[in-house]
Parts: sequence; C-alpha cells; structure tokens
Amino acid sequence: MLYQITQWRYHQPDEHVALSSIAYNRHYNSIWVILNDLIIGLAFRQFLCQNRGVLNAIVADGLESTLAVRIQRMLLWLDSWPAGLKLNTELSRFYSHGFIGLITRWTKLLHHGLSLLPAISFVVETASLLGMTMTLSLSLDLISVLTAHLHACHFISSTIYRHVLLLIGSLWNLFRGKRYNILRNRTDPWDYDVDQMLLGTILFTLAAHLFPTILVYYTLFALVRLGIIVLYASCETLLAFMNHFPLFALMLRSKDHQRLPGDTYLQVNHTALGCTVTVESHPLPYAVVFAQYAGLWRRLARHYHPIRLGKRLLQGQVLDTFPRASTGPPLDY
Amino acid sequence: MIPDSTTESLPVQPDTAVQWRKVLWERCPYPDNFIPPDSFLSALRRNPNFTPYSYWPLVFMCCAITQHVGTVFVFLAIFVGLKERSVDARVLLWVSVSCSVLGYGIWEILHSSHPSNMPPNRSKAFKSSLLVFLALMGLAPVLRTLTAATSSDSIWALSACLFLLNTVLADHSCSMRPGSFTQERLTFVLSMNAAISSSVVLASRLPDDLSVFSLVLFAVQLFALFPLLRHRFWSISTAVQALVTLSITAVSLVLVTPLSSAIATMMTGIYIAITFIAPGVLVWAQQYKNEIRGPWDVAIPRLNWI
Repeated sequence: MLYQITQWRYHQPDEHVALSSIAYNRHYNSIWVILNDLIIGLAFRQFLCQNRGVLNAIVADGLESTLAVRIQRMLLWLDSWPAGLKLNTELSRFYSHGFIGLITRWTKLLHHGLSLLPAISFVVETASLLGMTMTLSLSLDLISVLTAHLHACHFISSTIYRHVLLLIGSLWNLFRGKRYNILRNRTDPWDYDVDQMLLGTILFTLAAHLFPTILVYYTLFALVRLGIIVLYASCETLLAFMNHFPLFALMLRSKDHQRLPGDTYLQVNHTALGCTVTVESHPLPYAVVFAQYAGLWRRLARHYHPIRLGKRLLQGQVLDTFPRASTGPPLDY
Repeated sequence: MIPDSTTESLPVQPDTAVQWRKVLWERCPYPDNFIPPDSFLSALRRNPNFTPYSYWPLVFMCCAITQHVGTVFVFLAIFVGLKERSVDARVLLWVSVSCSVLGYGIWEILHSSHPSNMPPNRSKAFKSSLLVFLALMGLAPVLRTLTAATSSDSIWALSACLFLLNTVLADHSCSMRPGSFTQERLTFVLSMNAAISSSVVLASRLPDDLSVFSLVLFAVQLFALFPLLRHRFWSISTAVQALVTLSITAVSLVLVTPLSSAIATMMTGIYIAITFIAPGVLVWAQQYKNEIRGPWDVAIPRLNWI
C-alpha cells in the first residue's frame, strides 16, 4: 500500500485513464480492507477483554489434558494389546515409552509457558488492535508452537514407517528373486548369492511381522496431525480470504456500476431524425471481481485435497501446512 | 464331430476325368467341403513322439521328491523336540555345524572331480557363512519375540502354507547335466525363501535364544545348502541316490517315532505312496494317453541348435 501511496504522488494527469483507474481501485480497496480489518479486530479485542478470565481458565485447564494427557493415555492403550491387534510387545513398549517420555518433556516446558499466560493473552489482545488478521496469524503461530511435540512424534513415526515400507518393498523383490533395475525403471530377475538370499529372507520375515506395530503408531500420529492440519487449513483459508476481500470493488459496483466497467457496447436508438448511437458499458461480472479468490481457492484446494493428503499419508510423507509464500499478487481489476 | 458332407451334399456326380485336388483356387465340380472318403483324417497321428516311461527309472526320479518331503519332516521333528525340550539346542548346534563342514567337504570333492570346474572360492564361502552365522546370532533375540502376540494356531497355519509352497515349487528335476556345474543357479528361489521364512516363524515360538538360533541355523543348512549338495548326487549314480533317500527317510522316522507312532505310520505311508505307488499310477495311466497331431497344428520351426 505504501508503494501505491508513493505512486499516487507522481500521478500525471495525461496518464492512461484505464491504468489510473486500476491504481485508484487498488489503492482504495487496500484502505477499505485494512480499515475493516481494524474494526473487526477492535470488536474482537473487546470480546477478549470482557471474557479474559474465563478464556484464560479454559486454556490453562484444557491445554494439557487435550495435548498431552489424552495422547499419553492413547499410547498406553496401544501398548496393552488393544482390540486384538497383533503388536510386537517389545517394539510397542519401546515406541510408547519413547513417545510418552517426549511428551512428558514437552509438558514440563508447557508448565513454564503457562506461567506466561497473562502476558500472552495481553499480547494477543494488543495485537487485535492491529487487525483481525494479526490475531488470526498469531493464533496460527501459537497452534504450531503448542503442537510442536505432536509434529515431532509424527515426524519420527513417519520416518520409520517410510523406511520400513521401502525396506519391505525391496526385500519382497529379493524374496521373489528379482531386483529393481534403476537404469531401465523396471524389475528384472536377478541371481542373488545364497547368503544374500538367506539374510534378506530372514530380514523380510522380521520386517513383515514388525510392520503392524509400526503402522499402528504411525496411524495414531498421522491422524492427530491430520486433525491439526484441518484446523490450520480452516484458519489459513479464513486469513487468505480476509486479506483479499474485494470490498471496494463490490461497493463501487453496487453504487454505480458504470464506475467499474467490464467492456463497452454501442446502443442504437431510433429517433424521428434517424438514429443516435451511444456508448454504454457492461458492469464488470462478479466472476472477474472474485477471479483472484477462485485462483486462491484452487491453490488451497489442491494443497489440502483429500486424495493428495491420503496418498501422502499412505506413503508416510510428512503432512505439511500451506506454503507460506504470500497468497498471491495484489488484486487488480 | 465328423462332417458328413461327403454323403449328403453331392449334387454333382464326380467326373472321373477331373481329378480332385485339395486346392480352392481351381474350378472343379466338387463342393468346397468335399473330401474323398478314403482320405478323410488320413493325416491324423496319435502320440507321435511319445516314449513310454518304465517303472524303475521313475521310482529313482521320485526319490528327489521323497528326499525333499523327508527333510521337511526331519525339520518339523527337530522343532517339536526343541519345543518340548527333548532335543538339546547345543547338540543341534554342533550337529548342524559339523554337518555343514562335512557337506562342504563332500561338495568340494565332487566339485574337483570334474576337471572343467574352476577352483572353489573358499574364502568367499567362509566369509558368507560367517556372516550368516553372526547375523543369525544377533537376530535371535529379536526373532524369539517376533510373534509373541500372535496365537499359535495362526503360526501353525502360516508355516504349513509356507512349507506346502516350498514343496510344490522346489527344484525336483534330476537330469543334472555335467556341464552346468559351474553356474549353480538358484532357480527356485521362492521355494527356498518360503522354507526359510516358515522356519523363522516357527522358531519364534521357541522358549530361549539359543534354540531359536540353532533351529534357524539348522533350517539354513537343510533348506538352502543341502538341496545344492543333493542336486550334485545325481551325477554320481542311482545307488548313492537311493542310499541318500533311505537315510533321510530313516532319520525322519527315527526322529518322529518317539513323538507319535501314528504320525510315523502316516509318514511311512506318504513315503511309500510317493516313491512306489505314484510312479506305478503314472505308468498305468499311460495307456490313456491320446495326443492328436496333424497338419492342422501350428507349425513349429526347427532350429539348428536342437
């Protein structure tokens, strides 16, 4: 916006009228969106200030029980041969103890953090003065800091899962006496040595029996991560839509649609003397006004597409949030 | 079905002057599907290149299957013995180590008796056997607890399926050409792998690490190395073959009889059925062989290398 203001000063009267109109629209749209943002932020701040005590109590009570205790209880449940799952006892114990230890460490840190809760809520309230989008961004950052332990657990379990999957795939080839030919991108028959075959077969049997345990723990953390991702996705969608709402364009269009021309046409009126031709303009269609939104929505939908997420989940890749490269160039009409 | 057009569709009396030929591009007074009655199916040949099997060579060939089934039974008997602690794991370990040394010696003697073979690579064999030995020793504690949570019934079913796969896919061929000594190909890799993974699964039911280790080592001897050695006996004589078969069946019966005499009886029945009855059935069934060949078959190109 600063750039737009500086450009405004050098505005020359003989500039092309279409370009200046675009600059005008952009400029005022930015101002409108920012003012709106500020107004909503102020209202939200009022809400936060009035319910400060209640909100702080809810956060202080709920945070540890949801983020740590529930997960730990789940891990203990998985360790005790749940629901007829054939888990390997030793590996399962290793997994659950390791993760419980990690979460306990994080809980200690959380206790330090909870003593800062009044300060944090004050910061959030103050940030609301700068606009609703600021509050949203801050809460997104808070979510990612508060769920860092879950992210770490997911990262560890998905790394193990991915490698075991790869191991089983290549050992299955060995089991059948084949080998992946990287030059021709296919599997060829291959004569392994006897010792290779023996070790490979024993390792394959081992990995195949340990795989359910690894899969179960991976599934737990992948589902938790998926829940966090859904929360993230909704917040980010809201944020992106608030940052780019074409408020000024909509207002102009409803007030006087001649000021937001899409294209022109010639109107021929028959009169007694012959005919008069006037130039009229179509208003800009809504599809064009919201074109940027459509693109943004497409990018968001592509990133958070259920099939894509499911595929990444099965392949054991880390589920990531929307890339933070800002949400596109400014809107122009 | 035989087309009876020869009797029905003869509207034109065959002119004796025009000789019938089996060509469609020539105009002649016969219908298209006409064929002279005496030349109908004259080119049919039954069982053209069929050499009937005789009984005793078939019995010797079936010895390969009997040996394989016998090794599986020996392994199962040893497993039951280890599980019920009637076989000492240390004894089994020493037996399998000495068997492997002995087997390697025999293998090398057979190898060097053939002049066209390259000298055996002893250091490589020693290195890979040491590698397998140490890796099994390291993995034994993991293998012991591998299937602790799985019920025994599913383990028995799994190992039975894998042994069945092993027996069905195993290399029962016995026409060992002397020239193919140099490259010992593991043609039936899947069979060996099925047996090894089945024995790993069975070993995971055993109570202590040493018995797991010795059982898997014994399985490696029995299912990976012994078939290679057994295959070489075919080049010596049928007497050696019969001796090996007899000793394997005798060992398996001796091992099984103290466990259950009913199973021993059943095993004897299986051995007799495979070795003596099955070849007899095959010889008897040869009279029903009826392979029809004729000029309508797809032509097979004759290449020079045959």
